[in-house]
Amino acid sequence: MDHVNDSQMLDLLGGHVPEIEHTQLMAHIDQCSPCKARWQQLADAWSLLGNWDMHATDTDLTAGIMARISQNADIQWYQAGSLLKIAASILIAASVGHMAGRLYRPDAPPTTEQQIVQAMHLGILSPNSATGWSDPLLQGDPSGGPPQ
Amino acid sequence: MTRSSFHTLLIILIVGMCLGSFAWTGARRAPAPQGCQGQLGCWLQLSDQQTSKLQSHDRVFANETAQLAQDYRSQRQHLADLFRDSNTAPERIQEQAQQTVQANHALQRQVIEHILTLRADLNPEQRTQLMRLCCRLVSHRGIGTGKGPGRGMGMGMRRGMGQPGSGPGRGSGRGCRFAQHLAMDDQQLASIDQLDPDFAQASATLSDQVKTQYSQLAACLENLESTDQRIREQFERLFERRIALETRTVQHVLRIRDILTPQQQLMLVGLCRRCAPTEDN
Repeated sequence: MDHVNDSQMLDLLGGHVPEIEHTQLMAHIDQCSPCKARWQQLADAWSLLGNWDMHATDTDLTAGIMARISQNADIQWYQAGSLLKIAASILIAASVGHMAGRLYRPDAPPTTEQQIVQAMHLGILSPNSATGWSDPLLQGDPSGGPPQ
Repeated sequence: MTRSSFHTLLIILIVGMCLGSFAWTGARRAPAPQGCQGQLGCWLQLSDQQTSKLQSHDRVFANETAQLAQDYRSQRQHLADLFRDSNTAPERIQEQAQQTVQANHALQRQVIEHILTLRADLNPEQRTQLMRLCCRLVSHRGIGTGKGPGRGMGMGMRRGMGQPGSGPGRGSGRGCRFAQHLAMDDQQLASIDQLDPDFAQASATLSDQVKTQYSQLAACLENLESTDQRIREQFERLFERRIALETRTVQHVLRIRDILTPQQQLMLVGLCRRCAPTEDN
């Protein structure tokens, strides 16, 4: 029979091995010195762990974590610094652009005389007939049409 | 990605963000000038003080003038409708023509008064610029650069060596300009000689007088020394001659109405309807 490995030994200690196999493995361990030595070590460790009484309620993990965070705050800022710098640069760039855009007074498109004539109704001052019927008399060209 | 290419990308992003914000904000702040005052402000480069001073006047002017222009359009349209209806009495057409002329006069007076109000608040350069434009319109030199074919040659050749106001027959063809415009035939011209023999002479004289008054108004507007009173008086003299011409023309139209072909009647309706006081020129 092959030597009993650590996994099998842990299963034996935990009581997870069927009875027939348990008997066979234990018989081997009794007869095999190397296996017996390792079994003894694992059994001692198992027993020790079984007797360890840990008082979990006495340990305040939250307070510990927060304490460590405040201790290492400068380290975290440093680690996050690159990302923050990029975001801040973009924000500043957008703000500068916005402010410059507000301060900038663009040239309005040039106003034409035609627009002024329309806005001020100046066309009415041109030599036109009030009824339209005198237009042929007022124009220079006798061929027809109102004054240009 | 290497460190240097990351930095390059970052700088491009930041610069792009800056320019993008600038362009967006700038574009939102560049509205086209609105209203008479806005356009005038751009054209004459009015100062903020001048603009604010003229602002309240501008609002009143815009509302009142729009109403007067609308009224004038309606009166002319109504005149055209009355003329088109063969059952309309001549007196009714004459009355409507008078109302149309008065509506035109009210609009013109409003525009003249607006010009005078503006003129008072302009500096000499601005005043010159505005008054020259008005002068060009009144003297019928049009607006723009002033280049292009003139009108002098054609007129002069037709008038011959002439004395101004040489009576019927001046011009290139048969009848007066009015008859030429309606392309009247010999029979119609002969009828006109019976129905309204004086019209050619009278209309030529009156139209010359109107043109003279327009020229004098133009000179008045161009002269920066002209007082408001002087301009108003000249405007009223012009109106007096215009109403004389209009009255005589309407009288002629009514006298020859029955001998006009349907097409010629439609031409007269078209002349009357071709009215856009704010879009002219």
